[in-house]
Amino acid sequence: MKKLLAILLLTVLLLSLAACGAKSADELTVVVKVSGEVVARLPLSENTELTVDGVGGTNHLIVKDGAAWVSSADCANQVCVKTGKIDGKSMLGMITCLPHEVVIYLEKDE
Amino acid sequence: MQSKRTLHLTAAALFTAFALILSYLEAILPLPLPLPGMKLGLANLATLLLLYSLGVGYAAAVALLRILLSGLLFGSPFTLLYSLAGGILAFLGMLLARRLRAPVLVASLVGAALHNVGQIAVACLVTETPRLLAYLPFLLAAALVTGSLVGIAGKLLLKYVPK
Repeated sequence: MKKLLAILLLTVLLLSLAACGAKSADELTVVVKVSGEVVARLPLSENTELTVDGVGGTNHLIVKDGAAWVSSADCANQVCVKTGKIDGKSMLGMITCLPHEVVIYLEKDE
Repeated sequence: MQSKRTLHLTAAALFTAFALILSYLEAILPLPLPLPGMKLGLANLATLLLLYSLGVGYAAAVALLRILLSGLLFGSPFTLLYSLAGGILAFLGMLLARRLRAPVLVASLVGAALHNVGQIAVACLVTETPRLLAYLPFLLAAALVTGSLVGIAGKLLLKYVPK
């Protein structure tokens, strides 16, 4: 059983490392998805603001100085707001609001 | 015989109340990490204890009741879907652990991990975004901590539960 736990631990660690693969500081695009549909694609280099119409509520997205974040949202858990800023150096580069079915992530340009 | 059945039914009812209180506690506690779907899994303590004492039937009934009731009381249809998927998967995993005579701690860890797997699977389907799977390593790391804590609590409490 100890061996099994050790293997589980190691797998989790390796998976975490694989997920953090460093991204280059190339031009990135902020992709906004609601219920699987891409509703907006914004260049990370341009300062913009967007109120995302999610399912049953909204999330206010700000793109500024090469970073993107959700400044406010009317959902219950506020996970998206607490996620904070994402940029090219972020581990996951992803903001999720499950109650509103909103996913915001960074994508490398072609 | 009849009185034993009454005792077990009463215990199961008390466990449902216990699980609901833990669910409520969890709903009002702020999450330490901004991970979608992360939970402390406190309510799983009730399921775990029942699985190792009164048996599968009571454990399944209480787990299902707890999920439905806490979804109605403290959550929404949205949270219900997630906790149902996570809860069923976690229950099956813990059941297997119990059948394999694994210690309570192991069952708790299996339950915590599978709960996250179930939730993230639903999240991927709902948002049609497979990349949400990238949260899984972080959620599993969190499950290692929460699952251990609940498992240790379960081990300590098990001796006070009627068989």
